[in-house]
Amino acid sequence: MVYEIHSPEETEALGRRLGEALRERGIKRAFITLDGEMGVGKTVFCRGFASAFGITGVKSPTYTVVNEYRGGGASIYHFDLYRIDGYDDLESIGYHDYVESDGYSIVEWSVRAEDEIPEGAIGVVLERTQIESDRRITISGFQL
Amino acid sequence: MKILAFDSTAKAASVSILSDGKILADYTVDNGLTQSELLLPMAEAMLGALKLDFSDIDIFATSVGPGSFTGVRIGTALVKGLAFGREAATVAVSTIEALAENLAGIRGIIVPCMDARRGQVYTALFRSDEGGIRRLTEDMAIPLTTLRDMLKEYGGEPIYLTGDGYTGAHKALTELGLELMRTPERCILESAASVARVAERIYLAGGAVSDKELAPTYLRVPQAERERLERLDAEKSAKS
Repeated sequence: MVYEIHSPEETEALGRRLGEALRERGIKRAFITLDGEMGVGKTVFCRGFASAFGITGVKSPTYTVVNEYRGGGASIYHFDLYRIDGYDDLESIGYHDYVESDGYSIVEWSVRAEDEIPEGAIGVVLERTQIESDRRITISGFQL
Repeated sequence: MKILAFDSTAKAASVSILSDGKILADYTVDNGLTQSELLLPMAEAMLGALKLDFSDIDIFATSVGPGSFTGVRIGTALVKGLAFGREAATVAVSTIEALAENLAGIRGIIVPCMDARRGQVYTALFRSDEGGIRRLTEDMAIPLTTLRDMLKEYGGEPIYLTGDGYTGAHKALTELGLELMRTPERCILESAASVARVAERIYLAGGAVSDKELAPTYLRVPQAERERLERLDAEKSAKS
């Protein structure tokens, strides 16, 4: 499903809708790939997702590789795999320990873990459009 | 001599207290909850039941891997923290060796198997008889086909698998033509009681380390660490 977005607030709201939909349908474990160029609103989307569980303080995991948030009975594991190089690296950050436990793994640069993306993953792609403040967000693998 | 031992290298959190060769208390929780939140309250509850305190413990021990990277680090960090500043020794136990200890008293070849993913297992071979358990190989991360080839040499002896990779490895190795014994279910999972028993032997053999020296064993080295080791090696050879 493609969503035409006109502001960062709407990006955040869409993230929140996804979080709420998972919560309301009792889906306790999900793997969400989050793709888009720098500054397109990935962290904003994730902030919205987390707000569905009353979680605040979401920051980009660029330097930390993974940020873990807990609240509202949920865990969110927010990854940025850009600096991950190879399988052993992936394992050393506890990737499988996170992905195989209850919680929502939101993964930026999931291409670095291409062979290790579980079945049924939800895809979120953020793209710029001609208009500076607009975005096109595509959500696949899940019906909101 | 009292040992407080931990295992968090697989899914469960396990704590055990051993005093002069006797297990005083043994406590395992396996419900998927975070080990980092379980281990310390479990240890406190056990010490309380025994009317003991952390200051009564002479040796802090943990399995240091191989295993889940997160779990390995939880156990190691916990024991470092508990031993730091106390007059207590720490002992690092191989997860694989502790698993072999689960089957102490059985006669045969003991093969702990932990799922290392990508068709590999963390494993090692041990021989167990009246004389105790002897290690036949180092801890390894190898494909099951390689393990099959190694085990063929011991075809005449009863072979027992153990460890959280038991089901998958048993099935795969049987399909590859090996004849394996069935291991009692109670002897399959990682257990701090076995860690404590191995730790006692290591300590008596003079193998205790300082809390600073206690370190995880991953078997697979992360990229960042590999690069650091290569750099250190290069610097060393440049100097000499």
